[in-house]
Amino acid sequence: MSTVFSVLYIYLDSIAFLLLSSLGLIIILGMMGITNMAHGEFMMLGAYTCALATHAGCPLVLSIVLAMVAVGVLGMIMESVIIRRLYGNLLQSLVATWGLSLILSQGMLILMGPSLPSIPMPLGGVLLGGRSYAIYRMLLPLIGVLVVVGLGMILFRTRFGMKARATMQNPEISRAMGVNTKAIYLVMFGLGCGLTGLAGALYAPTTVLGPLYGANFLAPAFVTVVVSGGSNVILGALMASVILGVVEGGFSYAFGAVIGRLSLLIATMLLIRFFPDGLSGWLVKRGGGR
Amino acid sequence: MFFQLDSLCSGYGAIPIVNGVDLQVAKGETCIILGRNGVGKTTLLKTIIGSIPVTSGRIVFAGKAVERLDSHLRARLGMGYVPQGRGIFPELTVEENLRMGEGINQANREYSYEAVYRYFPILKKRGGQKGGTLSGGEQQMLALGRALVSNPLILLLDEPSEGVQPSVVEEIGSVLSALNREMGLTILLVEQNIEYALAIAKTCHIMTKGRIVDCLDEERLRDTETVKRYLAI
Repeated sequence: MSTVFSVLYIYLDSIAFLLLSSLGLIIILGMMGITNMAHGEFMMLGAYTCALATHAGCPLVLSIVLAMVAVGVLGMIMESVIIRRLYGNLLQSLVATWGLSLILSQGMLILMGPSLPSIPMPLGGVLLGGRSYAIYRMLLPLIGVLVVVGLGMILFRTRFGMKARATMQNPEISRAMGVNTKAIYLVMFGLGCGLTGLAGALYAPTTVLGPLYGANFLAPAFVTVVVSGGSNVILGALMASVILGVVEGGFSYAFGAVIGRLSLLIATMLLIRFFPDGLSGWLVKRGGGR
Repeated sequence: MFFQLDSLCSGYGAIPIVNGVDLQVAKGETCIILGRNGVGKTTLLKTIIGSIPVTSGRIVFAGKAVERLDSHLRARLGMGYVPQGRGIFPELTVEENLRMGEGINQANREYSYEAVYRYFPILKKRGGQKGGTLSGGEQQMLALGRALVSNPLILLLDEPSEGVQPSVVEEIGSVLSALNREMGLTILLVEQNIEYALAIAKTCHIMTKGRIVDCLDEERLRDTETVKRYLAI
């Protein structure tokens, strides 16, 4: 019983990590096509905002919301200053956002030093079969699924979502249908960054905080989005994080974290080999899902 | 004049494509511009809707100079655009594609879904299907339906007969005539198919090398020599 629980815990933890870290990138790379190399740094900014607010006496939940809003607003500023010029240009967006990531991480090092006092994990743990499991970490998969479903509702059930999907498919025709595509791009990038900040803040209590906090999240986030594909980012992200999470969780449980990470990358290569349009592309081709 | 182009010029980069077009379209008129491939018909329509910037000249629409307005603002003023190649959203459902048309003509509050479904019943039947799964002809109906949903003040059509089977061409032609006759819809259509053009209107403007050079009535359009001069390749 306790073994089953501990394996389940590891699986869910892996899935949550992939899902949450890829949250904003689902929009920014999956839908908007911007290869955002500063994704990890936006997560770091979310974690820092959350930590600083908590240390200033703010309750954790409020700090997390604050981080989401702050990084979202910063993202909108970045969109109007830099990103706006990069749509449809893969290499330029790669180099520009990589530069942005260096500026953000090194700037934070200069500004706040090599580390930030961490925030304690709330909610404590449960003891089962002699091992302790953090309740907070068990909540993360749930939060991840809730946020993704919420995002799906926005994209597929609202007028704004319809205009956003139309804009990503054909901006020129969307404009001819009266859509202010500049505003759509701005809000979508802001939304992507806000979710990135949210994910960064959610993981802030689980680890040490430094300017390179985001580096850990970058590769898993990218592989999840790439394996997901862009046809239906919501279903794709859920499927990709479950499959990759089970692989990574299983291998790290059996052979340790390094092999776990390696298995993640190998699984990604295999999945891309057999599903070049991503899992959602494959799903859509089969006629399922929207 | 309801819709007017004054010495309109535009192009891609430094290359001029539309080179001084003058045109007047009265309210309720069906105006057809005939021209062979590459004379700038599509570029002209893209310039009117605002996908391509105006280099010089004026576009007057419903009493306003609109040539400096962003594309989406021109649409909101009431330009309904049916682009070449149809330009439907492949990953949106048929119904969502139609709903996108609600952004056209913002002053309009009543949407004409019933009329659109009456003209093209297939669109209702295919409502939940993705736009990209429709046939060419159905996509053309969808593009037209989308432009009509919000009762545009002017309908801009770019070669609606292109790549569509003859029966659908005819169907769309009769819908356009009906719209013009019954609702007084103003239509600006560019075409290279003379027969199709004549089925909808009595006179056609002729475009060559980025300019409108003549206006022909049916008799002269039937005259092989004139047509050969303007439209032969």
